[in-house]
Amino acid sequence: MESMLGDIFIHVDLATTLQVVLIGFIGGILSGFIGSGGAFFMTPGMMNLGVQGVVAVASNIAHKFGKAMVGSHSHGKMGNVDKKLAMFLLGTAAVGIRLAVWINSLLFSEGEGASKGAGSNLYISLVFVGILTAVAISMIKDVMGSSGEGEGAGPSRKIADFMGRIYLPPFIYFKVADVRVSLWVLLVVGLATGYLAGTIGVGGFIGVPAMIYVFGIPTAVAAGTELYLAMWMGAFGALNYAWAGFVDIRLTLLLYLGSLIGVHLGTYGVKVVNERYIRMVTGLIILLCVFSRAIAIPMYLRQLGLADLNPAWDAYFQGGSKILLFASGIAGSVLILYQVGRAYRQRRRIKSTMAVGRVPAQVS
Amino acid sequence: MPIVIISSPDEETRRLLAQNLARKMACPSVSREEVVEQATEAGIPVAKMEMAVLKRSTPRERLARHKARLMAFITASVCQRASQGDMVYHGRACHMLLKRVGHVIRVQVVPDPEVRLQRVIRDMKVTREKAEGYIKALDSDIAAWVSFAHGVEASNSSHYDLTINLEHMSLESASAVIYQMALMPEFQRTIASDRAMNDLWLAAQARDLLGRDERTGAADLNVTATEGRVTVTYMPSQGKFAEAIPVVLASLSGAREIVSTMASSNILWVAEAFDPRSQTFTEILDVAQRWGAGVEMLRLLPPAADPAQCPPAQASLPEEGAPIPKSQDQTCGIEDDSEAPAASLDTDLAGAREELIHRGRFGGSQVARGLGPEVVQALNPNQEYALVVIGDLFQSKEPSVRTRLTREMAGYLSERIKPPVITGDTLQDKFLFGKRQMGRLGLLLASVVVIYVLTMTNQEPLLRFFGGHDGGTFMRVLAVLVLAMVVPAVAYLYGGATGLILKWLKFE
Repeated sequence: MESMLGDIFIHVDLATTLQVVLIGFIGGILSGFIGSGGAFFMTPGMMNLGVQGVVAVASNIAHKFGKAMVGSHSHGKMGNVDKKLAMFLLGTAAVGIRLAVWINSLLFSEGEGASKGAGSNLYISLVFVGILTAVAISMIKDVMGSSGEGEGAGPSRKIADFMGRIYLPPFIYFKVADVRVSLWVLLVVGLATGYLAGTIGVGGFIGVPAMIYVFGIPTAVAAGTELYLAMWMGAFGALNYAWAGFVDIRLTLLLYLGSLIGVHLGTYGVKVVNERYIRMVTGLIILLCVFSRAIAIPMYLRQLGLADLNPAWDAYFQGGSKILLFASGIAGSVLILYQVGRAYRQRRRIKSTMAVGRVPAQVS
Repeated sequence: MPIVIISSPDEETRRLLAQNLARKMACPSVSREEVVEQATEAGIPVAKMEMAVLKRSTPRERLARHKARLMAFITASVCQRASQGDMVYHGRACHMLLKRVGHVIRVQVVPDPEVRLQRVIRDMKVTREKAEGYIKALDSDIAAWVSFAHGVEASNSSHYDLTINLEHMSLESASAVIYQMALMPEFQRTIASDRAMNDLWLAAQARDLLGRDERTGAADLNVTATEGRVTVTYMPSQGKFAEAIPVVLASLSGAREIVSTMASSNILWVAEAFDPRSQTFTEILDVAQRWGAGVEMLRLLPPAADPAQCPPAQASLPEEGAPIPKSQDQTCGIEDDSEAPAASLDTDLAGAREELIHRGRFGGSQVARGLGPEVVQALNPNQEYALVVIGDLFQSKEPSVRTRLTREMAGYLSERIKPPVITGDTLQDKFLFGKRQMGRLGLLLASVVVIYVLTMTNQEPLLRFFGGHDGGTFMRVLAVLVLAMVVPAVAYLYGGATGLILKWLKFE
């Protein structure tokens, strides 16, 4: 891929434009369906187009900033945002983001020529594979282990049970979420969320479950508060990366073209698809994204001189990773769109059933 | 005599008070604990639910089905006993059970802290400090449960008719006060209050029946009843239960009609009159169809105006935190004592209802008399509301006064309830697609096209600018500021355009 401005940015032609829009569209569908920012697909997707890892993260976090601003505004109107809780989390999340930006910038500056950025790419890929493998396996295991619908269908309770036993004053009361939470737990969750948001752009994978299972707040409020938090974290992350000169405004805008349509389709899917199905599809898609990123790791190791591999193989690693990522994203999106279409048809059928099923006046 | 409901976190205090009062009223005293035991025997996992709430190990939404079954079981049980005569019922926050039933006195009892403390020290054989810690933890657990079960704070005095602090009053005196209150005309049975209780009972029986049946036991349902008409709503993702619902409820005695509607949420339409030919009706139906929501109608009649019989009519809406007065239906009793047309579904309401059923969007209906507080009370805590629409109200007032009062009502509700509240005349602008929206879409799309064309035709200068290659610190600061403004602006413009396009395509 042709590069611009000292190997930092890629050249964007029509083919690349369409691919970035497609990445945004698939990421948007997955984002709306899963309830996360979709970065687990968009960041590696851009890296597979030859975008430097740090630029992919920076451009995606800037994209997330604007999207979260629009989303949190809608949630705010529904009363689903606990601003006080978000502000407490933001305090340490900012530290986490700063830490992530510092590490990424440091690693990016290592190396020369072809190996420039390889350290940062490897680091981002390793964190991505580590964290998301745990998330995906946990999701699939819970779905396979649960008996069906109902309270047993949720994620593992081990962490929540453990946190429930810890008594760490002072506690702070949050009115909108209607919960009391230990300040120390808040700080730890904020730090972890910020670090992951700044490193791979998936802070929501930690923030939302933590709010639901550790803090005990309703799912709608967790999602709304996470979006509000994501807006501030996105802003902070985007400004930090912008200051370092890593935000590719073209990629950010092209992602919007696809993602803001995709997210509507994904959100519609959540309303009409069974929750176990959502969790299973989510787990599998994330796992495939992890495999895709793992395939590219040997290439970065070679570029850093940590593995003795033929440089000609880079194209295979890059290509394999790209094919697997797009295949998983497209397959996941097709599955979601299929369910959306099926549910739409089913709704039409049920509507007529309801009219027939109406029982005329019963004798009391 | 009315039904007396006593709520207190201290079981022994409320039990002793209830027994004392029941002796005076010559009626049975029933405790929450007895009914919960029966619910457990009926297969409702109450203990498991309590643990899940206290340990926060399960999102509350996942417990909604069991909660709905438990609330239905308790409500049916209380209504069944109350139908046989007077009764005193006591529990943690049972005052929320028979909302909108007029012949109920809801009493909050604050236990004497010292008496409670000494009892814990004696029974558990612990130190004073440990006893204090135990009571604090117990009250916190009860508060969490009440918040889960009823969605309110048990200590909120606006939900009670009477609050008694036993720190300075004996149980005997407290019992005498409640007994005297029970003799007051405001709390006596009326046709309307009996009807309200029968509807609650019917809905509770229907929910219980659906929960027990294996064909519908796993469904997340919301059940309401108005004048014997039972409405069941179920989530779009649970369409498989649609056909079983009327079959299971066929055996429900006392139901005049059963309607089931698939809806992910409800739109509450508050109005004095409902005209199925009106523009508001068409627009609400359009929004409901787009959103897959049911339409719940609340016919809000003006407060009774006879100052001799009723508390003074409120010139304006009450302040936040002020106690919610009993609805005029319950206090005045004029309309209650006869089968007045005001309390029954009028022709237009029935017409709107029929049309909604025909379109598959009926989400229930109810009638109340009053102002904003009555609307707040009418919201079903187990139902998710996507929107509250204030329709035609204050019809007897001058147009300008009507507009002002309607806006005041919308403002009052917006501050107190979660779902967005709008007036009927703004529906088109906010949620539907018309000429104005078409113009806005054109403007947004034009702006977006200009931004993208400029970006893609000036790639290198832009990258130089944002990449910090065009100068020193000043340019960097400028680049960061421009980015902070451009990114959300594009998200807003393009997000607005996509939202309008999807609205145009009726895909929401």
